Amino acid sequence: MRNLQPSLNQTQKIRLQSALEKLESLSSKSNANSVVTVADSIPIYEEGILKGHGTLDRKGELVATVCGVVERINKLIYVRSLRSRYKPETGDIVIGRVIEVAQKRWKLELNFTQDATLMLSSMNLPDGIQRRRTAVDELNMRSIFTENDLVCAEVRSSHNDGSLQLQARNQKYGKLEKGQLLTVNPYLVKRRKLHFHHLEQYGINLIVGCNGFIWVGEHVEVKDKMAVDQTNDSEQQIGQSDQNSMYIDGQDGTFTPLETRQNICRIANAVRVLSALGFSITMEVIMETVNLSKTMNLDIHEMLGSEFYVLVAESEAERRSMTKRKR
Amino acid sequence: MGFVVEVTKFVVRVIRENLVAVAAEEHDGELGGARRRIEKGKFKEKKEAGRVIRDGIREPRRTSFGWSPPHRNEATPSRDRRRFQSRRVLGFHILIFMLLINLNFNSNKVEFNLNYISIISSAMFEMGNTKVIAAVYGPREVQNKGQQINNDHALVRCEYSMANFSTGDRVRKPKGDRRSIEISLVIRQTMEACIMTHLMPRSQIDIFVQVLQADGGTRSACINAATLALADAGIPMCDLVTSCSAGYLNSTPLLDLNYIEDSAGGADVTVGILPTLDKVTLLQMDAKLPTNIFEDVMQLATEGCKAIANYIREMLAENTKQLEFRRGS
Repeated sequence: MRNLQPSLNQTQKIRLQSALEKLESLSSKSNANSVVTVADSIPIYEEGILKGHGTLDRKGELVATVCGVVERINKLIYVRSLRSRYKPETGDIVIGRVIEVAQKRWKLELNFTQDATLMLSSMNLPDGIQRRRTAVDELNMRSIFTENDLVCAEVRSSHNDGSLQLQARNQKYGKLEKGQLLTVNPYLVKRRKLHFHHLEQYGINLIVGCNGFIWVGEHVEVKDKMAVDQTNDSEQQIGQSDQNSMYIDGQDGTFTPLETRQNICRIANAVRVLSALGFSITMEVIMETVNLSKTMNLDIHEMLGSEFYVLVAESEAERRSMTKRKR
Repeated sequence: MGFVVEVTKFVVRVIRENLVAVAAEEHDGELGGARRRIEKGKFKEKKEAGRVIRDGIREPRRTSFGWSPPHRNEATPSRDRRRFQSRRVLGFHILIFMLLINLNFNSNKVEFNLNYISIISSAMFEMGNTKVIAAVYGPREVQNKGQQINNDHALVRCEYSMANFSTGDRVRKPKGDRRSIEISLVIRQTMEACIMTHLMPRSQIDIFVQVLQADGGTRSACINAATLALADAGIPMCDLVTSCSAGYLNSTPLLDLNYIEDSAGGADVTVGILPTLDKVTLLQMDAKLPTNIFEDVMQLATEGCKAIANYIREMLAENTKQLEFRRGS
């Protein structure tokens, strides 16, 4: 993947250049002026400002401490840094990798300054009943997630000392299987209402984690056992579902059909190209890139070539100018 | 092959000819030609020039000359290869837009580029023939809890290494030799002075610098590369540290000594400053200098640092602007 920057020939270079220039002209002018680097002074237009992240007061002068864009909200002035680590906010949907199973908790790596913790108590048990976590549950933690498993969860709280608590109190969260994980820069992912996408025509689940981890995997039907439990409370039912669900992971012997795998790869490559170009990644843009590759009749591996790289840049320029005109 | 501040331009030119003459005794005319050819920068000629210089100089210590052999990939030591591999696994290390600033500063160039797609921030810094790469990992969870001294400050670690192929003759260096440990420490302390570690409690920042091509001034090039990589990683810093070395030869202050000038035996002063705060974070000198001359040399080095700071700043601003408009609103 290191050499994705394809060796562009002369015409492709010029095309890319013009596409990028178009994008530059489309971006709002105010943003271009408010780009600061480390130790640049930030102009203050009014009295009594609040200094936020990425700023420093030096003898009455406001100075940036990171490279980024100055944002002004009423009296608050802060610098939004671009290529930095993930900054968590409560309610974010994130994807992480389990690196340690500890006492009553899992430690997850999610491109944050520290490892996040997912407590056993803030996790829906596979049998779906609400009860106290016993010592037996603690011993069985590895049957839920083991090291190197991928987990989708939600940010519960981030503390002052930098530690991060996660929760997974819903059936849509949990272990991710049969797919690909892509890591992009977190600044490319915007917070939205929807981060879980089910692409029905491909039979694929796409999860765009706020921490820049993107999951493309086979669609699995979410069985909301909570709902099942509420409707029929019979003991038997619970006992059955308990047995089924404890060992459901990966051992049901079903295979992902070839077509689905190809679709996964196609979508993953679209994400790769977009992240290589540094375009913001949303479901719509990914799907547009996938459709572009399909209409061009490109093979999956050809999506990482130079021609498609330039094409995506051009189509993105086109798309942004269209949306701008509409406004 | 240092770049030279305008005032001393003429003097240095003369000095260089002398130096080459000193180094190569009777081969001076030929070598002058060779040097000029190196500056044109064609590889074949470079190679030739390296050979000429080697033939000319008898003392084995001076035989190294900063050019990299063509078989660089085979030459990468296995440990380094492993590190590169792991980096590849972690982030999609796509080298997309190598922004190159090619500034001609008295026929020598200062070049650097940021690799801005991979999740890991890295930077390459070139100064004349010296070429250094730096990678910054973190802030991340502290790996070895025993090393953590202060809980509410980030731990900064630095590892300096020199590639086997970076000098003229290949020397297999043991991993933790004294020189690299010392330079690691110097870089760590210099960077720690500007990183606002109190904002990142319970985490660690790893800086890896590797010299790909050594031609004098590796210490300052390493610091500049590390600064660039840290700024790219979005780590809060109170200022950009820049560093530059200066020396004193034939009663002339010289800026940014190259290998030949460095091994001529004069004083070598490496200075690291915080340019906007006008503070010195690093000052090293190996040899003695009278105070009044030292002041001149120091002045020259500080000017060099400021010039580098301007380039770095320009580069970072351009990089940030690119990232911002590409991302769109």
